Amino acid sequence: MNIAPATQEPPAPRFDPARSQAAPILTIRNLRVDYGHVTAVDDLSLTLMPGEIFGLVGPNGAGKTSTIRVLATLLEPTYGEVTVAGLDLFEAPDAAHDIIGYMPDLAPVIPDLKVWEFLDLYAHSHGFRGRERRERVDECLERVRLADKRNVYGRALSRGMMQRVVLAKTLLHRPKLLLLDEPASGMDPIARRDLRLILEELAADGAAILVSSHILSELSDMCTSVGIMHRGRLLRHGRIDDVVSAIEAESARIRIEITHDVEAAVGWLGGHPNVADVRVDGASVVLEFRGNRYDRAELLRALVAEGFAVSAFTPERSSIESLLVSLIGEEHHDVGGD
Amino acid sequence: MSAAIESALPEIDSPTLRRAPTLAETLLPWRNPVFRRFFRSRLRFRKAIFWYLLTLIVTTFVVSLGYTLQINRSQPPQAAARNLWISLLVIQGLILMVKGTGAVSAGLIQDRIDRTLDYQRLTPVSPLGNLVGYLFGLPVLEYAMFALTLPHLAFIAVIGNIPTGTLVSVYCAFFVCVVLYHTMGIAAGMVMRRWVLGNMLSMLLVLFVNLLLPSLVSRLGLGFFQYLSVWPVIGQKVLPVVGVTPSPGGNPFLSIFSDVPFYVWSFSPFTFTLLLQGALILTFGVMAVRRWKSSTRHSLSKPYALAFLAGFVVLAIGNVWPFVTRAEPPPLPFPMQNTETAVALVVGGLSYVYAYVVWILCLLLFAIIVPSHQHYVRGIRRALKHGRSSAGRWEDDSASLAVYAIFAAVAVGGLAILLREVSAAGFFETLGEPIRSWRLSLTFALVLFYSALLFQTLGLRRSVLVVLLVWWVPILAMIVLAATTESFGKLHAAVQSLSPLALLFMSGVAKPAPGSEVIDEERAALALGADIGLAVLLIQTAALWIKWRRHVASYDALCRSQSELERVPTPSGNAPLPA
Repeated sequence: MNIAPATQEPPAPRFDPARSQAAPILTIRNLRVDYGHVTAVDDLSLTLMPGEIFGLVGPNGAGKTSTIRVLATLLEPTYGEVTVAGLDLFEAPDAAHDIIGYMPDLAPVIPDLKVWEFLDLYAHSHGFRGRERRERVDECLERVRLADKRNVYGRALSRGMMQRVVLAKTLLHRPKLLLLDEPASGMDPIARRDLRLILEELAADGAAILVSSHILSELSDMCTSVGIMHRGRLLRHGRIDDVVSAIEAESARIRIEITHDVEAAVGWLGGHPNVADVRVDGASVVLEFRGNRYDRAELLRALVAEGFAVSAFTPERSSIESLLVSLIGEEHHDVGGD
Repeated sequence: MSAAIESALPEIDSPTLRRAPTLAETLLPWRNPVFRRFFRSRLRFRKAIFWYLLTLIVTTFVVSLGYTLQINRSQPPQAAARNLWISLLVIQGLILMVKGTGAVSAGLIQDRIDRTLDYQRLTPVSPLGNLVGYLFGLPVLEYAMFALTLPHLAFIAVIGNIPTGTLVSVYCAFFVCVVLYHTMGIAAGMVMRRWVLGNMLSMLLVLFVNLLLPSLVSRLGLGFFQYLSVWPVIGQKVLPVVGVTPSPGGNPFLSIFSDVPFYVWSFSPFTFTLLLQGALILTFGVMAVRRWKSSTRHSLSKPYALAFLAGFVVLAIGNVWPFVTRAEPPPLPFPMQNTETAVALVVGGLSYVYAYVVWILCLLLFAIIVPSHQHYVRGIRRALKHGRSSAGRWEDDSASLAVYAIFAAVAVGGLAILLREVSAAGFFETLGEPIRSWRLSLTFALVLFYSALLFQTLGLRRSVLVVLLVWWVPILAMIVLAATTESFGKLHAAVQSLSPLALLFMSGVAKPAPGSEVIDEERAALALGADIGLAVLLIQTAALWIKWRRHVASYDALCRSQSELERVPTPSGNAPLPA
């Protein structure tokens, strides 16, 4: 694993999990976590391959932190199977600890230890000895750009610095599975960029990374795949483009410019089975369309065949956040409908 | 990294030869990472210098002043030095036992609140290794302060010519006691939520065990509690050195300095202290390790809790066995004439003491092992997932009433043995007021089962409310009523009997013979009250049982319906998107 400062090197080539023949690092089957009558995680199944950076996104209370705490062996699930690199997480948690690196949200540091002492404690706990331990601590401090803070006490660090110190701690034992719960909260833009580069490097070296956030755009830059969680359920997961396309396919807004006879076009579109919420917006007609790209092509063909002079036909690409909101909104609607 | 993990990661290179610390390594404090952490943070010179100076100043002042005063009073140097040993032991006890225990529980609670404990949980260091690290690391400042008193100890030992064997055995018992209190601090730290409260409570508990318990509980016939402190060993080993001879016949507290009776055997206080404290260290250690492995787990498993109760029963009966079998006269709790009646009164009362103390212990154990409704539901869901209808009887998430019945049976078995021996030795005949043994045993069993059911059905918080309203208020009401009427009659007994606390006592009172005098009217009222109270307790137990069965039915239905639903695939399920 390369230990030089991340920003001094060209970006490492992306590890392609799809092309890898390796066994999955993380396999979750039917995971469920309950807090009394509240189900925090509901029948979650997921697989992470080496080199995969998986973003778990969802609103507050979606079950992201509960999922990560179960994977970190800090929370006992109601049931479910989790294997980490072939080891049953609940049968051999101590062995799995050597493979897993966990960074909690608002990660704390020990206030009365200096930064290097804090890292030395966990390097020692993970079995580094003597000179190797000192070197490893220095390497990780360099990596998170905090080498100049090695003698500062934990209580004197800012929130962003604490996050970086804990990230350094998480990387100490070169974990093969990283669990990062809202790692970028409190980090400034430069630290976020560094975090992204570090994660990409680790993934390029074959580590699998599960990173959570409630901001999808924050993950979209760094993740190879993403899962959308809401009310304990994983609503969608897959490659980030596929997820976005799939959500778009279910409901997309289309803007159509028609040179004349707009009123007749609105009437015709209103009767189309896949179209809803047709309205005139200036010189354009805007509508909500349900269907995939073939259905959209068919709509365009039918419009032209009806004799409408279509000068522009533009599916509007929603922002990732609005897609997430729309997906969660649908889920709300479904639940309400039940 | 073990070979199993290496083989599980065929495609992942392992660029380092690091190896997780072995258990043997972490048992050596100086190789234990957690110990080294506290060695760094708690012994930082600028923070610790105040405590170092305080220790040196106080200890030097006490030793030098005490020695000078005694020499001025023409004491020989050897005696003057020996007399200072107990003072030094008190200072050392305050440092390691009181301050050290507070530091242990407060430090652990602080780590839990800060969530830095989670980091240590996620390292490959074994739970026992971590326990050792926290056990000796958190009070490392107090050990350093103790070390600063060693020159004074050396002065006392050399000038006082104290035998090395005595020094070794006293400090051996002292450190076992310290480890016991610190392990207790760890167990408290794994459960409590506020470090200030944890600190204060731990220190108060140590003071209680050392100052109040020996003089208080020894008067109630449960002498073995005294061996939780270091006093018995001090009495056996130190008092002869300083020239004080305890007279066991007088103050019952001083009886702890003589050999400990246990059934037909007799142990030295030193051995008995080590055995008892060793067993408790094991129990607190088990609690800490279980909570370390999972913060949602019960501190004790049901089988361990049952074994602990059984051990306590054996210990409690064994400790009073020589008295109830008339092999030895019991120590009298208060200054009174050592008549046959007084002895019979003391031994007869042991049954009640046993019942109440075992009840308190059972309440503590039930508070630990009875699952919350949340955990009970989790147990059903887990069981259904594995093709079973409910959690196994002895699992944490199980609420098996049969298990609570077994707890009650063990406790009642001990009481029955005790009552039989007291009766066989003729103490009840001496008193002329035989205890209704069967009635007392039956009520005791019902009270224990009711207590477990109360915790199970209402949960811990609401149970505390019930204890206040149903267990205490009737007694207080009876007191007000009795003060108003200046008498005690059937109404008073009936009101009082609503409380299980009073009922247990009343259930042993025998009905008076027909045609008795005034005192027998009170006994008649108590006997009537016992009947009313037993009926009320039966109704309460039945109501709790019905309520619990309703909970069980609703939880079962809820979990089974969800389980059925989960078998039906949903369109918005977790199916991955097509490639």
